[in-house]
Amino acid sequence: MQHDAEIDLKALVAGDKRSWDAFCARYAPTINASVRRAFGTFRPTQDDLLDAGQEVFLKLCRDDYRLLREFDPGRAKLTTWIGIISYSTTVDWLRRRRPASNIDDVPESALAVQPVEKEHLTIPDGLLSERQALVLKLIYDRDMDVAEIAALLKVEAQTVRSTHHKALIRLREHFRESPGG
Amino acid sequence: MTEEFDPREARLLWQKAASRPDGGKAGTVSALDLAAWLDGRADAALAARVESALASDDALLQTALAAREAAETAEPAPERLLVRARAMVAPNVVRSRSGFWSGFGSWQRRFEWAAIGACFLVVASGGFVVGGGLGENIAAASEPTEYALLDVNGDASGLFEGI
Repeated sequence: MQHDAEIDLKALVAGDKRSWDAFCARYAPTINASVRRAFGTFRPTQDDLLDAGQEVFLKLCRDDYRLLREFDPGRAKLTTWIGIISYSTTVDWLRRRRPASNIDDVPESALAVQPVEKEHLTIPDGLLSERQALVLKLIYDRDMDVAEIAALLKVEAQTVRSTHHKALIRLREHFRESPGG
Repeated sequence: MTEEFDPREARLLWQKAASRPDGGKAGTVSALDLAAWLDGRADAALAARVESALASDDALLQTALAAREAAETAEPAPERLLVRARAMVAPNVVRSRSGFWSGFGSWQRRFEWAAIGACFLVVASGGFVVGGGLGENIAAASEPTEYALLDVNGDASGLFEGI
């Protein structure tokens, strides 16, 4: 396990080169892992990974280390925060890098503006708690098992099962009373 | 009484519920909020806000899951990435103290300055001694002046002789 306390963040944001070098060595593996995940099903080359990783480091020291200055070690681990920053930076980088299509090569149907269909509200606010909704999403949209969800939420597996069950009861009651939603 | 759900019915119930369009109603969640939640350090209010956002925002949920995985299974970074990252920050230029002596830097730097000064003095003194010293030089410089004056006087007396 990495110890965030070993990096002197105050010295780093004050411009201390040695602290920056130590930071790079410590968090490059986390950044690398996060960048790889952001590529998802794409098959990145070594240069892609390097460029995206470099973009993350650039973002961290841009504007006189603005992002690192905003980080509060009392609220979260630096490793976790770096993982989030790396992932989102890489996703943005991939979006910017996506080659622009030549408009002549795109079929006309794809250029047509789709009418926006406003879906109707099927369940009222407050029917499910935030946690119930998240548990259902993780189970049914992400196919995560109870143990994985328990680890993510830092609760017992039984608590997840119970949350899941209560959420389903609420939904069943709601749709039974108002089948149309 | 315990209600039972078969998996198909449970999934269908969620799909009906998940079609609600108010998915974006959750407030914005910062990277630090999300990190605090992932680390189990969020209070009840923040946890509710983050979980609401995660339930309605696929991209945010994907970010959370990936970041958690990355923090747990860091992969060795290529050396080239480290070289590039380190090169982004220039070496320190630190002035520890203000005042006259600070211009000379650390004690090593002062020692260097002192050595340079000593060398200069040795070379200058050597040159001075080889050149014959200050007194002889002044004497040598003043002698021709005297001769010149004598010459001028001599010439002048000669000029006036015939008058």
